[in-house]
Amino acid sequence: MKRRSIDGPEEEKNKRPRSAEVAAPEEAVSAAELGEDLLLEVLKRADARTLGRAACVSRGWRRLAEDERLWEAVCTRDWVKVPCGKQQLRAVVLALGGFRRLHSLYILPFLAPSAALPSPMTGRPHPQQRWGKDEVQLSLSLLSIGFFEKMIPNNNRGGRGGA
Amino acid sequence: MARTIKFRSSDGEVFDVEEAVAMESQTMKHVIEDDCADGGITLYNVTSDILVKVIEYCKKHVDAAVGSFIKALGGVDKDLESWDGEFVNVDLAIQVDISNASNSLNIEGLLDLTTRVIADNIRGRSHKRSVRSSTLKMSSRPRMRNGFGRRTPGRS
Repeated sequence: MKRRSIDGPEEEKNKRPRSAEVAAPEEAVSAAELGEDLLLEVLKRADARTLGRAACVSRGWRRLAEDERLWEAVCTRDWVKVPCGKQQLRAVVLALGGFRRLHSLYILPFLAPSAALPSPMTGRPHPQQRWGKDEVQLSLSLLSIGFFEKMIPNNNRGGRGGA
Repeated sequence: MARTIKFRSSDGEVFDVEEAVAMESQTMKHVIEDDCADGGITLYNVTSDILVKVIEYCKKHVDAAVGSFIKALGGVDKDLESWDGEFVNVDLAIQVDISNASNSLNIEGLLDLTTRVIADNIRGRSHKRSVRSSTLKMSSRPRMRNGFGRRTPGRS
């Protein structure tokens, strides 16, 4: 379920100008190899879309791209201020489902549409809006609500009878 | 004192490098400080053409740091930035090789520069292209240091 929310906008990406495809044949000729260490370094500097897409390449890539620390960096990169200490935030978010889940369900849908799609010219995403205290707390609250909802046994999603 | 240190690439070429330039590499810095550099250092995983580029980068950054007050004040050196931009204007394969070399030599600035370029490069790709393109493959190189994930045996 989570994967789809990241892959959805990809369809539009695939219709990008073919000029990007032309570069591919020359690059495919030389077989340089990207070791695991290096790939990790590269993914550290990637944005959310690239990270999500990297997890779709192969099992090895997926193992690296799904690392929570990478997603933590992606989530907190645009926050003006982390609401509490980093360790505390990490402990709480990991307990409630992790940063990848946080980003996919409660951050990505709230990003401005222009920021979610990269610019067709350079391929770089528009500079992302910085998230202030309210947005951060909103997404963290939604994460914890989502977690506790799942915890309640026999929770009726449709009709809210007794808890 | 401008001590020079001999570096031998994997294909046998020898380069004389000033000590200050060699110290840009944290790995080499420790080797030099431990006094193990007297007989020259052989780099088994760096070829001569890549070593040339790495030395060029280190030299440029050492010279820039020495001659510039801007950096001392914490500012951004625009000339150096544009030089860096030109420096990484190479094929992806060479990019990856330089990255690998800077990773093993532990040259933070160069590693950051090259991996950022590679990250920008893969940003534009669909996952199918990443698979098809033989320039980005997971190599089976053994992990150099413990870090993020653990390789579970039996999984590809």
